Order: sequence, then C-alpha cells, then structure tokens
Amino acid sequence: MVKKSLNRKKINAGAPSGLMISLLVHVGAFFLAGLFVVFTILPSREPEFQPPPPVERPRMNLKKPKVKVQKSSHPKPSSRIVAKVKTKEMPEIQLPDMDGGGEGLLGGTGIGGEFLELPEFKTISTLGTEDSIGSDLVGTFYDFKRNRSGGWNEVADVSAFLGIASRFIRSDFNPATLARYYQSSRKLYASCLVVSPTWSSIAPSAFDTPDSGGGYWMVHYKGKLVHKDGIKFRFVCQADYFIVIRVDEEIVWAGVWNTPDRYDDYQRLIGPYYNPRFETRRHFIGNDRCMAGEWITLEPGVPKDIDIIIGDENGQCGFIIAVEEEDVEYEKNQYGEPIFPIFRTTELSHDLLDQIYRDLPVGEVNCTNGPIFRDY
Amino acid sequence: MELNKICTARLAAGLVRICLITFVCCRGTSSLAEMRIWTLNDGKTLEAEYVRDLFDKIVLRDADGKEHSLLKDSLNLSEDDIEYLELENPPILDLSFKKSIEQKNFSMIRYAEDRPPEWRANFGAKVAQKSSGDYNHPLTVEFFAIGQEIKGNRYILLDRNYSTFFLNKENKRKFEFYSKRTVRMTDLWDANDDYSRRGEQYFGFLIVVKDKRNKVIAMDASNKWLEENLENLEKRGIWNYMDKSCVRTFPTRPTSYIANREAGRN
Repeated sequence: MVKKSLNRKKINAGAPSGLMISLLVHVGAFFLAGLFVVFTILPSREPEFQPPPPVERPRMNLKKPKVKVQKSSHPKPSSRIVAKVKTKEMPEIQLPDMDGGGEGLLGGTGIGGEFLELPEFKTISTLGTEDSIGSDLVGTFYDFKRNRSGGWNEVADVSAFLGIASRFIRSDFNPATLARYYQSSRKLYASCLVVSPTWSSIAPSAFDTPDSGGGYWMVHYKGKLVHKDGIKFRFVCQADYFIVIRVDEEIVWAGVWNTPDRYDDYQRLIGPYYNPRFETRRHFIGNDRCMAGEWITLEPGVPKDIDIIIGDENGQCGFIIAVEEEDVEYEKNQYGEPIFPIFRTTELSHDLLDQIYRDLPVGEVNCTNGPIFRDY
Repeated sequence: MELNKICTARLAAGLVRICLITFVCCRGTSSLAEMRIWTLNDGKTLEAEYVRDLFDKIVLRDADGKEHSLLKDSLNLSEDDIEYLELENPPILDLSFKKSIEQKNFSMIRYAEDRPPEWRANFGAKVAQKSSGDYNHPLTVEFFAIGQEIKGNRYILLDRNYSTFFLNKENKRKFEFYSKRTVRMTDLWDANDDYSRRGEQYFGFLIVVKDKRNKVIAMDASNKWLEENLENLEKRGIWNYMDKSCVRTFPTRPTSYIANREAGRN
C-alpha cells in the first residue's frame, strides 16, 4: 500500500477563498465596464453671428426719359473715309540658323538634380528644313508603297511607280490623283536641291519615318520663281531617279536617270509633254550626265509659279538642280567642264552646306556664288 | 634596439608631417582669386586675395605678395565672404562619361533590305563627390560627345547637353544624366567614292563642371586638346564639323564621281 502524503495548504483564516474570487470577479467586471463607457465630447459652441439691423435707405424717384422721335426720320447713311493702303512687299524675315545636321531631340533625363531644356534642335536635310524663310519651296512627301492610312500598298515595279507619277503630271499636277497614297503631314522648306547620290531612304527619313526603307516615293515642291533684277537662264539638272520642273504650267525640264538608256521609263513618266535636250548632255554631276532645259526669262520682280517633283524607285537616289545664265562664262573644273551655280532662293547656311558638302565632290556645282532667286 | 625605435619614431613623424602638408595643400587652393576687402573684428581692413584654407585659419595674400594667416574668428565675415570662401573650396569630383552605341540593321525592314546599317548612340555624364563635407551650391555639368570622319580628318560635335544639380546626402552626393538625343552615324563602303569607307565614328568626350559663378571646378576629357580648346568647343553646335582647335570648318569632300565614271567603275 502506497501512502500518499497530501500537502494541503491551509487557507489563512479570516479570508475565505470564495470572497477573494468574488472580489476579483467584481474588479474585472468594473474594469470591463469601464472599457465600454463612451464619453461624448461636446464641442464648444461658437457664438452665433448676429447681423446688424438693416439701415433704411431713401429711394430715388426715377423718371422715365422722354425721347422725341420724328415720325418721318430715317437713319442717314454714315459717311466714312476709306483709305486704300498699298501693301509694299516687305523682305521676308530671315530666321536665325538653327544648329543642324544630326537627328534627335535635345533635352535629357537626370537623376538627382534639376534639368534644363536646351532649345529644340531642328533637323536639317538636303531635302529641306522645318522652318521657312519665305522665299523657299514647300515640299510635300508622297509614299506610293503606303496607302493613305499608312498601311502597305503594293507597287508592282518601276513602271507602276512611274505610272502613278505620270498621272499626277498629266492631271496638271493635281494632288487629288494621289489621294489614295500616303502623304506626310510634315512639310519641308527647300531653298535649293542638291542631293548627291545617297540612299533612297533619305526622303522618308527626312519627312517622318527615319527607319523606313526608300523607294517608290515622290516629293512635290511648290513655290514662286522670281528674280529682283530679271534674268534669262535655264535649269541644268541631274536626276536619279527623276525630276520634272514646271514653270507657269509649262514643263521646262524633265528627265530620268541615264535618260537615253532608260527612254522607256522617260516616256512612261512624261511622254509627249516634253522632249529632252539630249544634245546638252555634256558632263557628269553626281552619278549621271547633266542635261539642260528650256530657257526661261524672268522680268524684274515678277514672280512665276514653279513646281518641282522628284522621285526615286529604290536603291540610291540623287537630285542636283543647277542653273546656267545666258552669255555667262563659268569657271572650269579639273576636267574642263563648267561649274554651274546651284538653283537657290537664299544664301545657304553653314549647317546646310555641311550636309551638302558631306556628299558633294569638289568641282561639280557651285553652292556659294551665282544668282539668287528672290525679289530682294 | 633603442636606436631602431628612435629611427622608426622619427620616420613615422616625418610621414605624418608629409601627409599633413599634402592634405593642407589639397584642401583648397585658389590660383586666380580676386582681390577683396577683408574686415577684421577690430575694424581694420585688408585688401588681399584668398589663397587657401588652413584648418581654422585662412591664408590671404596682399597686393605686395605677402601672405597673412588669419584665424577665421578674427575676421568679420559677411554672407558674401562666407559664400565666396565656400565657392573657393569646391568638392573634389569624380567625372565619368556614359555612352551607349548600338548598330541598327535594316535588313528585316520591308523595302529597306539594302539600306546600310547605322550606328546609334546615346550619351550622358556622371558626377560623384569624392571629398567629404557639404557643398550647398548648385553645380552645372556639361558633356560634349565628339565624333570623327572615317575618311577625313575632321571632328564632329555629335552631341552636347548640360544639367544643373546639387550634391547632398539625399542623392548620396552623386548625379547622373543622359541626353534624349539619339545620334546616328553611318559607316559604309561607298561605291560612289571609289569604294572607300566613309561615314562617322565616335572619337572622344569632354565633361566640364562649373559652379554658380560659371567657373570651371572640374574637367575630364579623352584627349588633352579638347580641354585646351574648351572656349572654341563651347561655340560649336550639334553636328558642326571642326578641326583640332575646335574651330568650325566644312566636312571632307568625297572623291569625284566623275573620276569613277570616266574610269568605268560605275
């Protein structure tokens, strides 16, 4: 038998355990009750604004005005002196040269500081610039391999391409004939056209799509042809793939690359509208022999409408438009050929000359001397 | 043994002295400081140029060339004086030029299959403070990215950009920025130019940091002649062609197409 010793703790006399427990329970209950007591905080009431009593103001007795009207009166016509102002043609504002040559926007992103924006950098291309100086030609770009909404449009071959351009020429240069093809919303302003042989992608890159391929595109330049002193001259051009020049709705120059060998293409483009002057195909400018056009006479300060269209089928392209004045002797290059001045409507900026000289050999055309076609 | 200890102690003292002198010399030296009127606490004035800081003193040089070492507490420094002293002690900076150059191929783009590839570049700069202490004035960092003709001897200002910033604890005393412009460079074998290689390529850089007075406080360049011709370089615009003096010129012209045609190449 195992004895179990029970150590029983005796409760102190005078403090029964039940009472203790009861006290604890009551304390706990009071504590819990206290947690649930909600005190309502009454905001102090701001004194109400008491407006001052209204002040009685005397009323004005207004009388209705009496206007005597003659029954037989009629409004007389007012006589005004109108002076006719003769608006004299002011010289166009010459915009300052912008930094040019490269691509992309100025500005940057910085971490940790403020960033100041530099003036926006404007692209300069040999096909034109974004800013007009007034005397330049406005260029509109058409891409025949894209439709008007920018999607692809199949152009079968060079013949099809020339056919589209031909329809435009034969419709009297009506832009509606090109409505189904992509037209860039961006315009470029050209004061000259000196594009040495380069890649055909130069045109879409200059206008709106820098990563696009070239080929099957056309640019239509439009403006005024004027000379302040009057001049008799003709265009001397080299085209790859084609150039057509129209002055006052008369074709004065037209040609494709290597026109004698590509006569079928020439016919498809312009056909009977213009007979090229093969006898003037003398020396090389760019990658083809240049050719002269029709003589043009400009009266002093009298403008004529001029349209120039250039286009390329693919690969490389080049467009050089120079002029030859009647009875003027020109400096000769190392091959004994005359160096004609380029067609230009203003002095060329250093930035534009950089772009031209980058690809233009010495002795082909003169970019700094010669006539300037403007009225001042 | 005792002799060795003495020698070692003297050597150590000498090294410490050298370090102290070097520290003091690097602490702040002004080479072309302006003559200013400095007012002392007793009302006397001294016309002198600031030379350098020397712990709690500053060294001034008067018109006769005599140097005065004065406690900063003895000078009645105005706010302009305090700012002047702070600007004359710019932080030591570490400059680095950032460039990212990639080739863009067009062979997979419709109608662009025969377009030659381009090199496309983005440039930037990073400035980090190496010395300790606060510099509570704005700084301006500007970078110039220089290219070169592949065929020819002209240089091209491919890109330039600048930014103003502060160096503080919040930015861990570092600043970095990139230009938004993407520079395009061509590199091709030109059939029209005697099949020679033509185009542009990256050449080098120049980074300049200036304080609010437009004074250069730090500069780094890939080539010394860029530093030497900073004044001309600052006048150049994007894609300006220039010579080695950073004077603007025209690009190198290609060989005549006439020669190629006459030789029957085209």
